Amino acid sequence: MMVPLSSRARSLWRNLFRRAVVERELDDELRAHLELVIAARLAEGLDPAQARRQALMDVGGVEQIKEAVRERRAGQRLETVARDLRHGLRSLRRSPGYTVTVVLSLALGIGANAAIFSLVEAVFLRSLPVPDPQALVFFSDQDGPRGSGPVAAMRLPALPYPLYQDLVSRNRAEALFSGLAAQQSGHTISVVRRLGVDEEPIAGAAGQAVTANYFEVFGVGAARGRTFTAEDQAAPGLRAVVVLSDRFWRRRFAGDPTVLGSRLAINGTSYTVIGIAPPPFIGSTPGNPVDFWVPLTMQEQLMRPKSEGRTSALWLDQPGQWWLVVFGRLRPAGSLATAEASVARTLQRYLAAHPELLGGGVEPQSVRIALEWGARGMAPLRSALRAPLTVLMVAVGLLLVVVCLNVSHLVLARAIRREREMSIRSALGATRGRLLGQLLGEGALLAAAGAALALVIVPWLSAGLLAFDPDRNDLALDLGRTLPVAGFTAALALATAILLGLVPAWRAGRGSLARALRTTAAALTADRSRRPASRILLVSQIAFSLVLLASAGLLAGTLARLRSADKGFEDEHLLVVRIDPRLGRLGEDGARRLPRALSARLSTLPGVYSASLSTYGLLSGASWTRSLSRSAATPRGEQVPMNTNGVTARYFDTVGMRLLRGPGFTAEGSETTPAVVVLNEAAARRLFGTVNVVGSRLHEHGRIPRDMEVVGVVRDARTQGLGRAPPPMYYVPVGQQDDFAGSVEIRTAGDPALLAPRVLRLVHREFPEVAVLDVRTMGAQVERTLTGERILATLAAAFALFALVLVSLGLHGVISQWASQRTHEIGVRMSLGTTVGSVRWLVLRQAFALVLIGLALGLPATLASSRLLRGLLSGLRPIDPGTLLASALALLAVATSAAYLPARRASRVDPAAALRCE
Amino acid sequence: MSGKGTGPGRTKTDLLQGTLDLLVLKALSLGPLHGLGVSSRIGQITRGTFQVKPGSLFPALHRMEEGGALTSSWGESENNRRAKYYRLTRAGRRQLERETEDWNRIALAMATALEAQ
Repeated sequence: MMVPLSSRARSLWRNLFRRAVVERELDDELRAHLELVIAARLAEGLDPAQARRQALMDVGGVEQIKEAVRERRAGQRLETVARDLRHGLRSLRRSPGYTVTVVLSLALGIGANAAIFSLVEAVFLRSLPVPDPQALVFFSDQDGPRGSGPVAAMRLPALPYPLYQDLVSRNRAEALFSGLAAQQSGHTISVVRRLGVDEEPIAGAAGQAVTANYFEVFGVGAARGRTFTAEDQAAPGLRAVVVLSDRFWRRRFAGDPTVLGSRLAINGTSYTVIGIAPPPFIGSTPGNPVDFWVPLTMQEQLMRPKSEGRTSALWLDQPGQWWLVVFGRLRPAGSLATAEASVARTLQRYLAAHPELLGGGVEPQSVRIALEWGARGMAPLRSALRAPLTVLMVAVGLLLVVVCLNVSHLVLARAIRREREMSIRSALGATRGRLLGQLLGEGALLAAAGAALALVIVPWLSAGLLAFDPDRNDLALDLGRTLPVAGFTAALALATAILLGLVPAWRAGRGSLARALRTTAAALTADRSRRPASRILLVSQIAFSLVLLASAGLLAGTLARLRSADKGFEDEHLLVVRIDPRLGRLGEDGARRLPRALSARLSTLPGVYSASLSTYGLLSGASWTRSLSRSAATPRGEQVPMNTNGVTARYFDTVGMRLLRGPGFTAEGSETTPAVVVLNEAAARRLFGTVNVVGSRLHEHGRIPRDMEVVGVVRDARTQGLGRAPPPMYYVPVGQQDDFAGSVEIRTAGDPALLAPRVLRLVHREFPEVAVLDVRTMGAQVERTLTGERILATLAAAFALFALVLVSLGLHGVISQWASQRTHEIGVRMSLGTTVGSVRWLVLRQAFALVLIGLALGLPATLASSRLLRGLLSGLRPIDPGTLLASALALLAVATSAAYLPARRASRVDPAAALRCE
Repeated sequence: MSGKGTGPGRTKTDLLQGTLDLLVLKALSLGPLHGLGVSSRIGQITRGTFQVKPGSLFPALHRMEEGGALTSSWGESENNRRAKYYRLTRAGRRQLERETEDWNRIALAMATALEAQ
C-alpha cells in the first residue's frame, strides 16, 4: 500500500529531532491509560489499593510497552545506528593509541590510493571542459595503429589543409557534423614578448594555429574579449591576432587585464591580443596545455618553417603537407561508422586527384582516416601513462591490502582483548545483531576518520606527484579534491569499514560465553584456536610486503642502470642551450650564420673546452627521419628510414662521441661544398654490414635527393632515449641540411651549472636576436628523460617503506602478545636455568618463523608480479637474485628489530613474579 | 506502513498483526476512542475472542498513526480524565474498506478450501 510520505516524514522528523516531546507524550498516554484502567476497576467496586494493583497487572510492564512502541517507530534503525556510532566513539576514546594507529594507517593507505586515482581520473576519465563533449570526434589516429583487418592500413595522424577544405565542403552537403574545425598537430614552442613592457621575452610558450571556428566547434567562448571570426582567417598573414589561455594569462601576465588589446611579439611577428579563453580550457590535449592560439592563416609566421626549393613555408596550399588535426561535432543523428565512410570517400577522391602523394605500392583504398570519439580529448598522455599508471594502481592497491591486513590484525587483537566485554554484554541480553552493529559502528568510525584524513592529505600527495615534473610540461593537470576522487575515497572507506567491522564480528561469532568468561590470561593462552587468525594475517602481510619491496628494488635498479648506463656520449661537464635563432629581424641567411658565430664565441669563454651546434639536442625527444640507400648498388639498394641530425664539426668532440672510422667532419660544410655524412655504427652495419665504410657513397631520399660520401663512423649513442638500444642514425653538416640549429652543446672544465648564468648573459648581450629557450646541464636533461622511471621507483620505494613499517608494527604486536602469554612458561624455564640468550632466541625465533613463512609465500607472488611488470614496462630485466635477497634480508632485519624489544622484555622476567602470577 | 509489518518487531505476531490492524480500524470506524476504549471495543465486537493487551495495542496504534491511517489528539474521557483519542483518517477509512474486502475474499476462499472434500 502507498505510504503517505508526508506523514512518515513528519514522524521521522519528530522521532529523530523532537525525541523528548515524543517520549513525554508516550509517557503521558500510558499514564493516562493506567488511570483509566484504575478508574474502571474502581467502578467495579474494588478499593483503591486493590484497584491500582489489579490495573498494574492488567497493563503489564510500562517500560516494555514503551520499548515495543519505540521499536515500531519510524527511524528506529537510524536511531540504532546513531547509538552504535556513539558507543563506538566512546569505546575508541578509551583506547587512543589503537585509534590513532588505525586511523593514520588507513589515511595513508586510502590517501595514497586516492592520490594515484586522482591522476587516473584526470588522465583517463575526465572529459574536456567543454559543453556536450560526447559529440566531439577527432580525425586522428590517437592510440596508434591497432591493425586488426587483413589490410595493413596506413592510418593518417594528420591531414593537409586542402583535404580539410574538401571535408568541410562535403559536410556542407551531408551535414553529418554540426561543425568541422582543425588545429595544427601538436604545438609550436614560441618566444613571446609583450611589446613596450617586457624586456625579457617569455620563452617556451606553446602556440597553436587553429581554424577560425576552433572555439565555436568546441563550444567555448572567450572569458574576456572575443575569439576568432571568419575575417581573421581571410588570407595568409593578414590578421595577426591571438587568443591567450587563462592559464598562460595568469601565470605569465599575472592576470593583468590590460594585456587584452595590447601587442605581443610572438616568434618575431607582432600580434594583437583579442581574447582570453575561459579558465579550464587548455585545448584539445589534456596535460599538454596550449598557451595561445592564432588563426591558421598565421601558420607561416608562427612556425617559421624553412622554405626549401619549390616548396614554400606556407603550408595552407600544400596538398602534401600533413599537419592538421581535424575535429568536429557529430550531429545526434549521425553514427561514427557513417561519418567514417563519408570521410573515406572524400579521402579517396583527394588521393585520386593527387596521385603523387601515394608512395609506390600503396593502394589508395588502404589509406584511411580513423575517427575517434573525443570526449576526453586527444590521447598522447593516455597512451604514455597507461602502463606506468597501471603499475602504480596495482602497487598502491597492494599497499592498501597490506594496510588492511595490518589494521585487521590490530582490530582482531582488540577483539580478543574485548571478548570478555562482549560475552558479558551478550549475557546481559544484547543480541548478536546488536553486538555486530556496535562493532560495525566502530569500524565505520575508524574508516570514516581515515577517509576524512585521507581527503585532507590527497591534495598534498597529488601535488607531490606533479612535482616530479617541475616544469609542468607533460603533466599540467588539475588534481585534487574532485568529485570522482571523493567518490573513490568514500568507496574505499566503505569497503574498509565493512572489513574492520566484520573481522571482530567473525571472531565474536565463534566465541563461546563460558570460554570468554574465564578470567586469567593463562586460560586464554591455553585456547589455541584463537592464534592462527592473526598469524595468517601477518604472514600474508609479509608476503605482500615482499612483493612491494622486490618490485621497488627492481624499479630502483632499472633507474640506476639507466642512469649509469654507457650512453655513448659523456653526460658530465656538458651544458646544453636550446636556442631559436629565427626570431630576430635577421634574414634567413643571418639566422643560419648566427649560431655558428655564437658557438665560436662560446668556445672562447673561460672554462669552456669546446662548443658545438646541432639541429636536435641530445635526448630532446625531437628528431627527423629520412631514408637512405647505398648509391653503389644499381638498381639502388633498399631504402632504410633512419633518424638524422645536423651538427657542426666539433660536435662529436664536444659531446664525447668517439669516431670509430674516418676523420669525421673536418670543416663546416655548406650547401656549396660536397655532401658528406657520418654514420653511427648501427647505421653502417644496417646499410653495409660492416663499419669499414669510409669513402662509400649513400643516397638520401629527401625532398631534394642527393648523394653523399661517408666520412666517418661514430660509436652508437643513446641520443633518442636511455631505455632503448641506439637506433641507426646519420649525421650531416648543419649547413647541408634543412633545419636551423636549435641546440648548442658546451663542454666545460668544471661544474656546467655554474657556467649557465654566464652563457645566458653572453647570449643576451652579444646575440640579442637569439632567443634562449632554456639552459640545462646534460645531467638535468638525463633526469628529465627519466621522469617516468623516477616516479615509479620513488613511489614504489615509498610504498614498500610504508609496508615495512606496518610489518614491523604487526610483528611487534604479535610477538609481544605471544611473549606476554608465555610469561609463566618463561619464568619456569628461567628458574630451571635457561639463559637470557636462549630466552631471547625463543622469542625471536617466533618472529623469524613468521617471516620465513611469509617469504616462502611471497616468493612466487614476487616472481609473478615481476613478470607482470616486465610485460607493462619496457627496459626492465627479470628480477635478479640480488634484489630478492636484499628484500628478504630487509624484511628479516625489520623482523629482528620489531621482535627485539619483546624478546628483551621477556628475558627480564623475574622468575618468582612470573610463577606467582598464576 | 500497512498491516505488512517490517522492521525489528516482526516475529510471532505476523499472522495476528494484519488482523489486529483490521480490528483497530474497525473499532475506530464508529468514532474516536482512546487506547482502553479501542481494546474494550475490540473485546465487544469480537465477543471476547480477542483480548488486546496494551503491549501490542500501543505499538500498533503508534505504527498506524505514523503510517497515516490514524490521527490522535488529547481529549477528556467520559469520567473527566485526560486521554489520547485516536480517529480514522480518510486513508484509514480507505484502508479499512480495502482490507475488509481482502479479508472477506480470503475468509471465503479458506472456508471453501477447508470444506472441500
